[in-house]
Order: sequence, then structure tokens, then C-alpha cells
Amino acid sequence: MTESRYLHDLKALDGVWDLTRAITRRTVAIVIGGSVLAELLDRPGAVHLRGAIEKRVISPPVDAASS
Amino acid sequence: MTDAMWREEQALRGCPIIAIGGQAVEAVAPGVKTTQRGDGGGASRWSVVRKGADTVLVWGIGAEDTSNALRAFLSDGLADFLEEIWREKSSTPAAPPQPAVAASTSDPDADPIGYVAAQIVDERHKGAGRQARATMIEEVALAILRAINEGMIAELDDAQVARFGFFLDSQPNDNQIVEFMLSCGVDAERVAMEATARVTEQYLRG
Repeated sequence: MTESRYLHDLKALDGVWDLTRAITRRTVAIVIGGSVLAELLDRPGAVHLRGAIEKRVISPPVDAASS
Repeated sequence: MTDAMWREEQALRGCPIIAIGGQAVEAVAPGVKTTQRGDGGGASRWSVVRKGADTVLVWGIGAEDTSNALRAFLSDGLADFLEEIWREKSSTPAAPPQPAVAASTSDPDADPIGYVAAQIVDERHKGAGRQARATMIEEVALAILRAINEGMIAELDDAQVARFGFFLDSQPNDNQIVEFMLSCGVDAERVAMEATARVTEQYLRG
């Protein structure tokens, strides 16, 4: 998770709890299994994938762009 | 997120998917594991399978195999996949003309803005409608930002700035759009409407 994305999501969601405010045209759903084993064994790869995707997002969130 | 979260969260229904691991793959595309092999090949212990335009399935026999599959996808496949889905989303064609509001919005030649607006608010056309609305909102938000920078309208207060923050990179719902427009005052609303008209014309031409 990149810091800029976290701050953007925090601003959009905190206290509102409406997921649609954080979903953009570039959002990709990364799905793993819900078992403890999947959490232990697949989530690290999913987090790595998320980082790779965020690096490819051309336009950063407005908070990152303006800082 | 887990497969259960993905199943329950309706807001994610239009999003492209990358499923990792057998349990997730089975949830996203039941039966695929037993019928398809992807890049790993028949003798391989892992697979990367593209299903439809916006789904990638990554799994292996064991956890290490899944990790190898993901590593292969990261080095060869992810970039092309993202390029395709993001290009697709930015060029989604207009939905079939089935306007659901006033009769005057049924003729794109007579009332182009109303025609597109009808599609945007029509929940039956969520795909193209959502895309068009997101494009318009982005343009509106940028126009307001330009107007502020050029001194055409007064600076927004902190609350307005906070609401403005997510507009460039999200898809606010109708109530949020209206609230934001109103909060910016009459001049901002005029700028917004001009931008909306311009984007609508581009959308119809495109």
C-alpha cells in the first residue's frame, strides 16, 4: 500500500463508510481465499501485486499530486 | 479482500478482478480450475488464466506454486492486462439509447446533453453511464479547480476542499455531485455546467 493511496482513501472514507467514494476507473479487485491458510500464504502475494498495480497508476490521487 | 467480501460488496461488481489461489479462483470462476490450464502448461504446477475481458485467475497446486504463478504474471501479463482494462474503461461506448426520463431526452440530435444525462442517471446503463458520469465529473472538478486558480471564483473553504479532494479520482453518487455543485456557489455552478456541456459534446462525438 502506498502512503498517498492510504491518505486518499482515508480522506474519502473515514466517517462516511461509503466504498464507492474510493472506487475509481482504475480500481482492480484483488481476491484471495477467506481461510486462515489463504491469509497466511496468499495475502503477501496479493499485497505485492497491489503495490505493483499502484505503481502503474498514471495519475496519482489529488492529495499526492498537490504535495 | 477475501472471496466472501468480494461476493457481498456490490460496489465492486464493475471492477476488474485478479483472483489469487484456488479458493479465490473457485469463487470468482467456478469450475475453471478443472477445465483450463493457462500459461503454466499442462505439466506445470501453476496456471495464469485470463477469463473474459476483465478477470485474471492465478493459482497453483500448492502455495509456492501459486506464488510462482503470481511472479510470472507480474513479470509478464500484468502490464498488458492493466493497459487493456484501463483503456477499455476510458473508451467505453455509449449505452444503447433507452432514455428513462423526460421525453425530450430521447432524441440525441435535438437535446444531446439531456440525452446523455438520461443515460447517466438511468441505472439500467450502469456500465457506460458510470463511465460517462465519471468522465464528466472529472472534467467538472478540473474546471472548478481552474476557476479557483484563475480567480474566477472565490477559494473554497476547508469543508469544500475536503469534499473536492475525492472528485478527481472517484465516482461520487448523484447526491454528492449535487451537494458539491451547490456548495461551490453560482459562479462555480456555471463553470461546472459549461464543462459538463463540453464533455457531453465530446462524449457524443467520440
